[in-house]
Amino acid sequence: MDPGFGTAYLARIVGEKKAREMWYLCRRYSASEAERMGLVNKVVSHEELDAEVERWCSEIMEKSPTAISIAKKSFNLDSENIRAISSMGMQALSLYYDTDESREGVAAFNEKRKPDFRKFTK
Amino acid sequence: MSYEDILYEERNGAAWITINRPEVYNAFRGQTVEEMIHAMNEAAWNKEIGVIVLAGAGDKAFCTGGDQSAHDGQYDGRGIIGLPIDELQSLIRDVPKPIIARVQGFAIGGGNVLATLCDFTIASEKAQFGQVGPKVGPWIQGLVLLI
Repeated sequence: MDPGFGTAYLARIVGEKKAREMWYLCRRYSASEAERMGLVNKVVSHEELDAEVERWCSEIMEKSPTAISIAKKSFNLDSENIRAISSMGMQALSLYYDTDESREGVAAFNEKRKPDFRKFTK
Repeated sequence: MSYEDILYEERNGAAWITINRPEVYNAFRGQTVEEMIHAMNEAAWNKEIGVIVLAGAGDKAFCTGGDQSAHDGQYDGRGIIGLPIDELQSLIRDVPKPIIARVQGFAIGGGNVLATLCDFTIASEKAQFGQVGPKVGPWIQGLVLLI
């Protein structure tokens, strides 16, 4: 789990409603769904993937590297507080790992059954 | 540094960093994250390199997050949770070059977060995205795909 970049930053990209749906319901999303959500820039056929990635790389290589790095850093600055949310989140997660509720997930997986998290909720 | 868990290749100004653990759906352990951090720094400060591609080996998975078999209560490396994943995430943002996530299969859990953090994501039609923490407990995200 990555609270912070995994949650708050994801919400910047796909919006709060979709980000919460992804986290609370743990569904899987196809490439085209992800593209509609804004999570993916481009979807191509499996065979075309490397060629498409290489096309994007060559386009980037033609541009001014310094201008790109300034643009990248300026995008980052606007969401920089999320880095601290991640750090706080990791600290909380290390405590969560040490609970019976968290261990239930592991036990259920090993015993090939559905987890019953609720009986461990404090 | 020689790499065991990843592949590093420079071609036409692009540095390709590929998680090479297809047998565990490219889940990462402590060492994998250390190697990715090292490779990312190589690419970041090499003037010949203008763009970085993050990929997963094989056809099935881009990356499925932390490798649960690598730990018992903690992962097997350093950092708050035993994986310096927060350092890697910060680095993806801090390198002064665009990073493209090349997603050809599962981008799940911590793998979805890595793709989310990249500047661009380019996907094949076989890619699948999602989070799984609250479903199985955050410990076994990677392995859940194996059953």
